Amino acid sequence: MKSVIKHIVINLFEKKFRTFIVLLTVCLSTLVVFIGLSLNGIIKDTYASMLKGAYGDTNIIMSKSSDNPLYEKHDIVLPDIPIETRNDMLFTQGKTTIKDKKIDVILVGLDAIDAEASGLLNKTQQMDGFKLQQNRAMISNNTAAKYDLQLGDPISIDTGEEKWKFIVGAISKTQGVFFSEVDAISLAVSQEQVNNILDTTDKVNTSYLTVPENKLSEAIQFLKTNNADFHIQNQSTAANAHDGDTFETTMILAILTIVLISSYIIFSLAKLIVVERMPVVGTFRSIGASKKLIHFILTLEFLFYGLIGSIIGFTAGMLLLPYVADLFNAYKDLGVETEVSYSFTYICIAFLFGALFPAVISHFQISRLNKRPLKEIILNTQQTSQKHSIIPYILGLILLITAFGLYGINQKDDLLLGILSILCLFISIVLWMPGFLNLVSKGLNRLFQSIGSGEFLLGVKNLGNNKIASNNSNMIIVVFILLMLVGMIADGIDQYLHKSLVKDYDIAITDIQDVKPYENVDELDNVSDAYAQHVNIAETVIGNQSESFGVIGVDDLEAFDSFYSGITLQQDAKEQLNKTDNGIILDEYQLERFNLQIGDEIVLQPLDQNLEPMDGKDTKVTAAIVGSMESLGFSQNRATALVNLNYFHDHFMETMSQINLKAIPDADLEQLKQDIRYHYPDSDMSVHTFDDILETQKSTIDSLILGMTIIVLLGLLIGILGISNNLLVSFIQRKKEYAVLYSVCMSRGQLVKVLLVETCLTFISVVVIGFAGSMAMNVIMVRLLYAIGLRIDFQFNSSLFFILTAVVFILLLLSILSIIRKIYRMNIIENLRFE
Amino acid sequence: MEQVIRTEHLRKSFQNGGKEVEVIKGIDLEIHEGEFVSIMGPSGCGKSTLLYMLGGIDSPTSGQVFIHHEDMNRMKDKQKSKLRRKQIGFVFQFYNLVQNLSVAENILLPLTMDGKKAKDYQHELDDILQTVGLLERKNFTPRELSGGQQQRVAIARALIMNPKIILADEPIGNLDSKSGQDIMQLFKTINKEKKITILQVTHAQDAAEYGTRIIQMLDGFIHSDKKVAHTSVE
Repeated sequence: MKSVIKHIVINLFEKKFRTFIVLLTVCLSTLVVFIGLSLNGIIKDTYASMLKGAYGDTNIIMSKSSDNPLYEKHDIVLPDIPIETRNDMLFTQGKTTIKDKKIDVILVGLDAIDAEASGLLNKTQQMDGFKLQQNRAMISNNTAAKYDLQLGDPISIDTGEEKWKFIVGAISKTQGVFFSEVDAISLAVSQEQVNNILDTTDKVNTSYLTVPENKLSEAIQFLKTNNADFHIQNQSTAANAHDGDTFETTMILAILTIVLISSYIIFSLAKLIVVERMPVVGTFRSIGASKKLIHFILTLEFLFYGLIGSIIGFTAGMLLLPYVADLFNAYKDLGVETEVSYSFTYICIAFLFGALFPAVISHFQISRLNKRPLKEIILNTQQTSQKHSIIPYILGLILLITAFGLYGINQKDDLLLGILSILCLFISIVLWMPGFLNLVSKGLNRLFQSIGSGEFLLGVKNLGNNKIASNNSNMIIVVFILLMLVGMIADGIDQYLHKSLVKDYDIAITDIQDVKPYENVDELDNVSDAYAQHVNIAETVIGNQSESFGVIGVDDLEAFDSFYSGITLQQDAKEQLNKTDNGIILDEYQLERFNLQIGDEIVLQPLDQNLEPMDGKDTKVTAAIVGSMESLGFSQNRATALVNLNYFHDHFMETMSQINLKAIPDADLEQLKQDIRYHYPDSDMSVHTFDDILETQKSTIDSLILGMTIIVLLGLLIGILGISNNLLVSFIQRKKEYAVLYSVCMSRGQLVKVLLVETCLTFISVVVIGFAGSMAMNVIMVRLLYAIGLRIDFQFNSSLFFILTAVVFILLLLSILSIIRKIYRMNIIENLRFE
Repeated sequence: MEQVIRTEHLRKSFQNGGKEVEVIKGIDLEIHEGEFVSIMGPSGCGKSTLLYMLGGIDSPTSGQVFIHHEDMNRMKDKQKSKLRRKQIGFVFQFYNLVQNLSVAENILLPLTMDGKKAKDYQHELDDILQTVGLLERKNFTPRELSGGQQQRVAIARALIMNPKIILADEPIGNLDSKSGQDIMQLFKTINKEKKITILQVTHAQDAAEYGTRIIQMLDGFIHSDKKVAHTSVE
């Protein structure tokens, strides 16, 4: 046993370059698996941390939904459940000027002691004997640092009719009520003072409650039943609305791709390593070692690679995780720290994957070696000719048909079917590749038989018949197509954000329970047009496939159509909707997906703010499909549904309503935002420009694209290392072939010419097969992308194709230069003799 | 008879464990047209090294090799390969066929590398296949042939360009006695009928005696050089 381990360790050290490549491949795949698995949890935790920062320990948010948003504390009927904390707040808006800079201010009237107990305030400095009372204010350390404000500094607030002077009495951490200080600063002041500003008494407009987590649903249900005028929102609903699922799915797809690339590289390397070990195996076998022992020795060698590579991989992963996770923290600007945690399960998965993966993959190659006759092993009479069995082609054809069959069947864009069809297509390409290369080789041979030089014709033959030359081409094509796959998904995500959405408005007023109070917003200066959108989320299930629609109640379809150019109504949809009370217009994609026709009925379940069935019961609505539209430019998930406004009011509730404004040309949008806030001082609405909204989506999408880019680069690195190693190791294997050719009829220059022909043909094959494979992938991948929510007009990514083509070209060029040098320096005699 | 191979003070040394080891120690040799020379000697005496230097595959440390009075030392790699292609045929112990090419393609390889079109030499190919007895197997790949048959393919490949010389390194070292006898008989026929000069390295006395001259080597020198009287082997 000792001598076996010694033999393995010597091998690892003697073949330094190969050991380096295998270790690096194992290390990188372990690292990607570990970081990829950990990231999703970290992103969710960071998001939760952001929410905790914003809402403290509270878990229910209440506000009034009628025309007058102000209420008194006792207006809320509380459940018979212990309320752990309660914060009633009164928000209003104002303006201030600090160092000649005009700043929007949100005044938050609250009880400082209650707020601090709930984590909505966290004092770090205060004046002696500070109390949040008349003319005293608390600011965030963010505001203090940004505007160089100290304790005792005055801040003058203009609320339109009056000016109010506050003294900075305390500074808090930037959390809770200070959390959303992006466009405006927040001032925590006494509730009485805000009531004075608004000329009211004991009024509030928002309440944050904390109830025990296990009683949360019960409390919400009670509150809903007994406080009909109020909007009750579960704080964790916001967390669920995060794009976690898309991120997780995309990440898993990317990890899967890296694992596939690594598997193929290690499989290929295992093939070469096993062949290279033939003489040693021959020696061991000739002195009586059994096949079992040989299997054990070689497996142990791969296990060594796995163990060392995975230890380095997950150690590097643990060290890098905080930095990588930080890149994905979209809330850094808000001061949210990245919540890095190390999951023992993920460490174990990554470690076991890295450690066992090479041994498992090499198992097939070792078994194959052991099946060879002993004489062949001892004499190392390796066969370089490519066997062309019909079985892989039949299997490849079946898988190709299956891939397109699944694509055809998968009308409802099921994720699993989407992945399966891509996998089938990919395996069929791999199985067909040797056959295709053989076909190219035979075709070119026939074409150039009478005009091609001997070197050219030998190079052409090698492409199809030489196992090693063919193996090189296969590996490059596999890595090429896999990288195209990841790149195409990344491009799809990019298109989803940047190329689909039509800018139909300049400013959106959101977080409003009712659009009525804002109907006169178009009278403001610089506003050219406004459209009030009455929106509710409604769920439908058709044939085990569910979809959430954004149902919009429309009163005037003409006005709607002229306001939004991102929606194109098809044929007579407009007239039909006007004629049909319960009519609904859906995107043509959804009609095709669910195999729906005009005239069919669809059952919708409207959801409340907490994404639970409206009124807590089955309140399903049956609508008749009266037309179709193309809505990609309006909403990228193509899940918008239009209904008549009266029908909307009868059966749905406004949970996501918003008002979209168009500004006059060259208007200052930031100023307009301030004017809107100023115009509705006691509203807790949010005002964003189109670019702000795009930016919010962009931060999530950019994180995804960054992740995919890192994956592509890692895959490229593993691929490049694997391919160059394969090319160099294959040279070692072909030395004898070169020596034979040299000894019988060829000069070294002619050998180089043959190699050049092989390389050029490999490059051309990569481009042709890569293109054909990518085009097929382009068709089939639509279902996969649709399944993960990217319902876009998907385009073939030609720039990525050309980049990868250029990378392959440079890689082949660099590898071939080294091989040419080796051919000119090769010792022919050494490689001709076996003694 | 015309002299086809000549060496002058031929020496070859290798670095082994930091020491220079001389394996060929100043050999002067002349081979004439039509001779069938067998080089014998114990392992490590330098016989194969001598053969590879005569074929231009290996270069001497000092001294010259003349093929048809042309100094190989002065030739560039391209000229040497042209010489190997046109005037010398090589046969190895382990056949050294290109595995992914068919029998016919292996045999025609020197022709195609010389810029000739294979289809113009189908008649010659059939003749040679007839000579080596493999006409029926011209589309087989090497792995489908026995050792003896593979060696015949190697001989056919060596013959396709009508060379003046065939250099064979232990041509029957990997074959059973029956196949070995057949191959040696084939060499003898080729030597007699085609007047091709053959130089073989062998350990086997029986095989050596198919030749017309036996050179015994020992420790890098020619120990003896004798003509063979041909009565027993036939």
